[in-house]
Amino acid sequence: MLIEPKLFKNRKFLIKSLLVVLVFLPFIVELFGNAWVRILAFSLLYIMLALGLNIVIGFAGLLDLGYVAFYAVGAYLFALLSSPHLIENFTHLQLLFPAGFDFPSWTLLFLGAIVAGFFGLLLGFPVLRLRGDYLAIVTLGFGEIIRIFLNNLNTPINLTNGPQGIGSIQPLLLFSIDFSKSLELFNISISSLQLHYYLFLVLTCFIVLVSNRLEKSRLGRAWIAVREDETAAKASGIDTTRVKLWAFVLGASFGGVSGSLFASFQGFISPESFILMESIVIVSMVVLGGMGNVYGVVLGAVLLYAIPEILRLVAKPSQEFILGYELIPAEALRMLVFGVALVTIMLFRPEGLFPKNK
Amino acid sequence: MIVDKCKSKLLSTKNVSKNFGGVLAVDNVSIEVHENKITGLIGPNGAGKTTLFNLITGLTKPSSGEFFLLGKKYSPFKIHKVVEKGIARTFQNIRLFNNMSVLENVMVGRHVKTNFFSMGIFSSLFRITTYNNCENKQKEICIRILEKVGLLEKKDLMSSNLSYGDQRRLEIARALACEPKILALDEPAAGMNPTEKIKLKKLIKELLFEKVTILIIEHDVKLMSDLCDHIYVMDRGKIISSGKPTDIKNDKKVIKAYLGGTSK
Amino acid sequence: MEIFTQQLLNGIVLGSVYAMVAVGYTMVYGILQLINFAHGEVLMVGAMLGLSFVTFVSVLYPSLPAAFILVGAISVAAVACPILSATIERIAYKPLRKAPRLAPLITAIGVSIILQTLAMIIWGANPKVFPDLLPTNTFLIGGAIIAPKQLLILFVAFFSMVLLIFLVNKTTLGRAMRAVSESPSNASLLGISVDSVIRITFMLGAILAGVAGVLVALNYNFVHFTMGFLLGLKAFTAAVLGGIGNIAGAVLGGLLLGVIESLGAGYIGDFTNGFLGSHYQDIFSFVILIIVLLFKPTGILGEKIADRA
Repeated sequence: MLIEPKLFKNRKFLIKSLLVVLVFLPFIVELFGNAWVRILAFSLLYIMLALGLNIVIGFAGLLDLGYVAFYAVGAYLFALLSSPHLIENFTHLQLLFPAGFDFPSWTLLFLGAIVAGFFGLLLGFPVLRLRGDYLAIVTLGFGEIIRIFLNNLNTPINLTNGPQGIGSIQPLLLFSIDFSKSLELFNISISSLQLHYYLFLVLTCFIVLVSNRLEKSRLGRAWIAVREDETAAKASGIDTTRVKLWAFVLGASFGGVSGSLFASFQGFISPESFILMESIVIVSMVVLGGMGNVYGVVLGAVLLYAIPEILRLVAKPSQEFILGYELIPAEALRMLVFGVALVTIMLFRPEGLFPKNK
Repeated sequence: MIVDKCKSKLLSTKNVSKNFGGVLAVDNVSIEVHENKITGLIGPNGAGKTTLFNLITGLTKPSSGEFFLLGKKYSPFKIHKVVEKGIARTFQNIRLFNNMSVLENVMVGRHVKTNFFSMGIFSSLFRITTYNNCENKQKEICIRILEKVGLLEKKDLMSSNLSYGDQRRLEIARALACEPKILALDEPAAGMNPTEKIKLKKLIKELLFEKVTILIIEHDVKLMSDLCDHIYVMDRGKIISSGKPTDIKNDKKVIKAYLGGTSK
Repeated sequence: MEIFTQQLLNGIVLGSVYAMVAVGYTMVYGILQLINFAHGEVLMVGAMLGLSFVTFVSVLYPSLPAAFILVGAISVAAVACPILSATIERIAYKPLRKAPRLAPLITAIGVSIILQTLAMIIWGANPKVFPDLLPTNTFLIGGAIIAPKQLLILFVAFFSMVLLIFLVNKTTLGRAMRAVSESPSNASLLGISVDSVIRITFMLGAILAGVAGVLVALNYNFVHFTMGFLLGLKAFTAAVLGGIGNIAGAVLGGLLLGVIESLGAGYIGDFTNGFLGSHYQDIFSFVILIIVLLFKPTGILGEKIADRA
């Protein structure tokens, strides 16, 4: 009993110091260039995505290979409702909104979650009774179907603008802060990139909290039961279909919010950002972190996003330095890292970086 | 609405059959389980006992026949609905949740007794007081159940680390957590040594004392004779004998089924 | 009517390719319940190696008849691909035979990515042209145009299917394969080396896939490191459609899928009043997959899966 309070204090200290580091990080990193702050912001975005997928794969044990579809839904919803695209292409909208759309950012983010969640329900309903590998392939197909539609719905009516994507997406306006401009606070200038970083940081912490709460709840126990032994779970009175649907819907809504944030952050989206490889990347993050382990998945996401990005920045110059030319293009290197990561983790440490030992 | 008049009859099946592509695993079986009594199901291997269990609890779809619970007809088509209606079971080959602790395994059993509003998503996200109270109450209930089956000191151990006998008792505890009207045990004594069997017998008798109705499949004829108030004997899918243990023991058909000739 | 016959013929040619690849998926799934995601990449490697061979040989021996070179390319694929597939099986799948179902699936995806990336590095990121090694004059069959290379596909597919079915049903090896695909544990009790049978199963599928790869490259005059992925997915759909684990099912499913895709691409414009164009062709197989799995998951001819002890 004496050990417990000491561990507890240690943990609190650790969290506090981590938070301090996180708060100052963008300023330290900006000394090296804007690209690094962008890496930080995107790392957080991927953490959010990985945590969302963690609910589906990690908690409920459902292998979803088309998660990027929900990301896309959130992104396109935000983009369509906050860019001039729809108004330019549909005259009756032009009449209804002569000054353009001007929906509040909170509404759009919320809508992104809801609509993506709805797509999760749509997908989940028919698909959840399939066995594991079939479920994987069907969700993969769903992700591809969404991408193909996004890529081709520019004729006969131009809904998504096809491969050209949608641009001029309005930036976020939250707490009366315009996220596209820098903010003056106590004589410190916080750039737009850094603002986005802080917003993502807050939201990520929120999602971590939500994940933890879900895990230790009645629903979380039901998920783990379903994952461990579905028949035994049913025999313990769990409506496994409903429980699995919840996993899908919640996971999807996290993806949707991330998508909306992505759209406003980047200002421009196209179907290229929502390819199958992205789904696989997010799956890798969950697998590396240890399926179901919230903090493991956070680390897995950071590693699997940051390392390839760093590789991308240094691969070309270092190869040219050593070999004289670029033998392996950065994109290929990135993909190779993922492929090798997936295979080696499964072969040598399938429980992930942080096995759940209790 | 078809109603069965006998008040103490908790569960009954009428002319239930299951055909597996030509093989009649369960053939026109009608049994009754009476309240606060221990009903046993014995028979040689392959007689159809577990299949009958699976039919009653929803793991397998019947080819024909009817099922009654508390006098009302029920369709055992969804396993979790059968649990909701009041029948909880254990499995012949122990199906525990290996990556959960003993206590957590039992907590899963409480799922059907807690509802979505007090313990659903929104309440668990915001950890409102009702949620915390509910969660603590469920924990207490589970701890009491563990005490009853004798696993209290091991409540935080991983279920996969338990001994075989303890794992069986944990499964019973989980089923009890569902507060079932009928506890259906599928060969709970399988693989147990004599000491463990004595402990199991004691536990089942204690459960009976607490007004739990029990339906049990077992091979150990002596154990069943000591425990059961009523026994059904199955062979090749049919009920060949039924009655008090003393009557069964002397039934020629039963002796023939066990000693002469094989089933299936 | 002419459009119909043309699309039908195209569909049968396409379907023959799907059938050749689907067989590999179906045999592996029947024994291991593993979707060999890397199978499509085996096809791609076959095509790439075939192209390299063709390029290499036509530079060294420009006077060789083109048909010879083609046979050479096919042979190279038919030898190299099974070796590749067996290696993958040994390194990535075998250690995970007892692991929970998600694990080999994730590994397979990883292998697929690695193969694609290696191909991208070795052969470049841009599509390459595969030369026409057969005479390009076309024939008219029942109002539809067909080229010798398409006839070759039909030929090769037909004969390889016949050979395979003969192998599986009339030889000792085939009997061993059937035993393992019904119950690996029983088969091993009977003295059959389950590991060898599994390896051979992978290799047989790979031979078909590799050869199909060269034929596809010839047919479309095109190779690219991504060519195997989508084709592989569609071939898997075909296997499910016909009944997974069932070789005849894979053939039937392949042909059916090819015809549906071809007819669909031809007529979808009419069906939807111009709303959906033929670029939606790829969706067909996904939609069919979803429909089959929802309504008749055992497929047309029924599934044959081993009982996993």
